[in-house]
Amino acid sequence: MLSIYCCCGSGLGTSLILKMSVEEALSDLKINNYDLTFGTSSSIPYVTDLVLCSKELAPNLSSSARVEGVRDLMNTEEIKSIIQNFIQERYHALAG
Amino acid sequence: MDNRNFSVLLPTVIRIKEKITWKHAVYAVTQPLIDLACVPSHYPDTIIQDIEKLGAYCIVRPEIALIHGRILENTTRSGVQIMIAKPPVLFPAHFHGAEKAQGSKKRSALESEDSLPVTVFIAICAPDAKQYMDLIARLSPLLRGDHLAKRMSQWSDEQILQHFSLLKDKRKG
Repeated sequence: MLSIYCCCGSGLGTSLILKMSVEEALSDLKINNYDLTFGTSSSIPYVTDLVLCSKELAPNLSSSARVEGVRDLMNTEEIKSIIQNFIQERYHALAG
Repeated sequence: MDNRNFSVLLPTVIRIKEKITWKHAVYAVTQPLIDLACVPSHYPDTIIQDIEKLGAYCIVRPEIALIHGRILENTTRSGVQIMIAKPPVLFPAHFHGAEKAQGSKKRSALESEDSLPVTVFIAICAPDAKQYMDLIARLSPLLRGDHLAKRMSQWSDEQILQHFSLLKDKRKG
């Protein structure tokens, strides 16, 4: 299962917008088995696969998970390609 | 979500025609919400502090800033204020406080973009988490579509207010 955490400074604004776009992206990619949550950048879950946030926030986050900044939070194409790349890389890492 | 319990203040559109700093822009777009007693007067200060600490997290789409901060005590009701800035307001692509945390590799990538232009400002506030999420869920579909900032900056005040009056009709999705 893919677990994604969307975050922003307040934990309510941009993270929620992002979560709505990620839901759409996952549905387009026909990925049904996922765990999608959102909140503040200071409460990233210890165990999660991918952390998404705005491009400006990304360099300031520390997480053991992969952190990806999104330029346009309403652009599902951008989010789709981030998720696809992540899944592909993870598959290669497991296969190798 | 329930339409009966939803109300939001949507004052007039602000138009900025001279060059102003990003901090001035945050003050300008939140002022009507303060004047209408939706939020306490230190709301813009908390947002500026967060932006300086975290980076320009408010830029949700190219040229569109959603000016929003933590929920403050004494916020009385939900509000939305729109501001169009021509010429665009420039936000630094990286902030001093935020810069410290960046590795040298990431910094060089960011240095190619010194500033982020913003034409459309949307300031929001809500008294509690539930109403905040309700407002975002309603606002989000209205911010979709290609080249929204460019299109919106050409709309009249009436067109802009009409577009955002759809906040009051909760549609599915």
